[in-house]
Amino acid sequence: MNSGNPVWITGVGTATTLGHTYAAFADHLLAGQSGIERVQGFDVSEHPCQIAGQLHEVPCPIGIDPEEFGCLHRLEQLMRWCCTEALRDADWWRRRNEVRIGVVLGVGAEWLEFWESDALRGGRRICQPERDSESMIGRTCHALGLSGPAVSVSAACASGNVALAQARHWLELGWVDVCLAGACDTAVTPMGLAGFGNLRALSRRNNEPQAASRPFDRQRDGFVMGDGGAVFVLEPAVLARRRGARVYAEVAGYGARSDAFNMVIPSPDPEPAIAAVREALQDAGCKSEDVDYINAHATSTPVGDIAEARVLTTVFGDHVHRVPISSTKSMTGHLLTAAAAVEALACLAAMERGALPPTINLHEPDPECDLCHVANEARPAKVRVAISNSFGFGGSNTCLVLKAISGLMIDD
Amino acid sequence: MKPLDDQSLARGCAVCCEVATDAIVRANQDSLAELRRNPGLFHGKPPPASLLKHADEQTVAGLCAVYRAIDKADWQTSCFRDWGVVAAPRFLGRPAMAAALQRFAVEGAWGVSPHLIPHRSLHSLSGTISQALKIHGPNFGVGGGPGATVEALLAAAALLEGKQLPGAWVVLTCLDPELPPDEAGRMPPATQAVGLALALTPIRASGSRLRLHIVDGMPDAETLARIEKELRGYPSRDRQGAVASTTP
Repeated sequence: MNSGNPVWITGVGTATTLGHTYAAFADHLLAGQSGIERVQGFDVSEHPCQIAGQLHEVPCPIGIDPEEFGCLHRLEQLMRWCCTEALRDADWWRRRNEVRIGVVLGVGAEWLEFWESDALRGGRRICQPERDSESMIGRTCHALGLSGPAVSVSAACASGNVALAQARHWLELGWVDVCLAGACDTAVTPMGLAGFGNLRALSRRNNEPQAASRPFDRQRDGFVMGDGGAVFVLEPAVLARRRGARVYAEVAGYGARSDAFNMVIPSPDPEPAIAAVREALQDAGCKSEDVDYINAHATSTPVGDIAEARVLTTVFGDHVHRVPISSTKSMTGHLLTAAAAVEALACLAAMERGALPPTINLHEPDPECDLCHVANEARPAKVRVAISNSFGFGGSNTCLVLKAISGLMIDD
Repeated sequence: MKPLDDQSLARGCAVCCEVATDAIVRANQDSLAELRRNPGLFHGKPPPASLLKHADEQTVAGLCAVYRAIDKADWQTSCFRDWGVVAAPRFLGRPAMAAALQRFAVEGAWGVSPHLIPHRSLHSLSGTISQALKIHGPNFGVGGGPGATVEALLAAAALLEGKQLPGAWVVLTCLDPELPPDEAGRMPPATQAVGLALALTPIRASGSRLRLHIVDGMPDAETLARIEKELRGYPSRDRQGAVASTTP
């Protein structure tokens, strides 16, 4: 529940197929650019899905030894890049020893990904448990010199929202002065791609990679996996004001409910998801009419997109036909554990740039998804309140509400 | 590390919750097979037969521990609808992944089971428990590696404090000892899957047997004295307490 002490986002670090900085990400997002391509780097000739949004390289943060960085697992590289850049962006990097900085990161399958990459290089780490002594988040905190509490969380696709909510609450409790929160994933691996493909969850539009992720479109046939991450710096508004920080938005509200139905299939009962969205709006002190933009979870699956449309129609009533909505997964692909975090970033871009990101590849909207789509091209709009839905495997339904801070936006 | 010296910032708030019930389950490969079929009852019924069919060994042990804790507290008719679940497995999926890697090396993409990722991800344990107990509050996984116990307790305590849930299940699991799996993906005979289930609730006025206090930094003398005073109110055989610090 919102305690009355606002928590603001004052820094961003990101790496996605749309760019490795906030500015590049926002530019490419609003240009409707797709980051999906045919998979490179491993043989996909026998994979049902042969396309993805791959992060081929993670930049090495300034001041870190490139050789040492290059030896890290790609997921750990991503965590370090995003955390370091977020702290720099917030102007906390050089002062990080002056405050208690906590870390809450969505990380979904760290050990599976690590064991797989090791095995594919001929290693046998999976059979050497005595060597598994520290998690990536622990090493990241040590490397960055952060001494506050640190937690890895996972609610599948909803992990980023869970992380932001947990971080906000740690700040409200006073357990930390500043908190890094976000999520990272590098699940586009030979076995990851195969596993989701064999689950029949992925698009098989292999001959048109950039047209494959098409949420809400009648011709959608599954999601497209993507790599990436986004980490935010959260701090109390009073601290941000006092130090004259640049501000992106307020983490204003959050709601979370579980389906309690199935590990991969969304529940036919929309009530838990409806309750999550309503709880978030109430937490933020908003009515549905206050919402200027909805970043949908919509992954481009036949069932999931319709389920979300029904949830939103119930929550927003007739107003659902007036509040703009888009799914940026159409451009980034589905970043799984990192999805919610990157989609929060998309909301910040909408607020800062005064423009709504599009759902690209939306040429024949599904009549069962009768919503106010921002189809194919970005649209100018003032966004004061944005919500981001994330409904994960395992039945986690979450909704995050972000509010613009009047007079303190980063272009002010 | 001290907090910023600013009166307008929140000081570290202590969180105190009750451990309303708890249970531990240890199972080797042989007993796991039976537990997978019959993990326990809730509301007098077993879970759906398919719930644990593809689940990891740690998930089976974790859910069984929850059922035992429910029995211990005589909660068979309780409703956990609005509770939360925070689950912290440790190196979840090592045996299954070892087998999957072998199979992938031989069969390629077609050999990767569609059940591998949904049931061996960090959220798999919490998601399964939420299904078994029809929990519609938040559920998420925490940690996944060493040190996850503290992470799980921090996350659960924050959840209870913030969302004012009636309770939260905290489930910790591991393989003990953690030995290399065989190539067929089986746990070694000496290894047991261990599940510890704790039901955390807000402090009740009386009758709590076990409490968890989380304080910011090292407890000061006043806080320690208060905790000691509370503990003295309990019979010595029940005198237990846990104080976890948020800073290393």
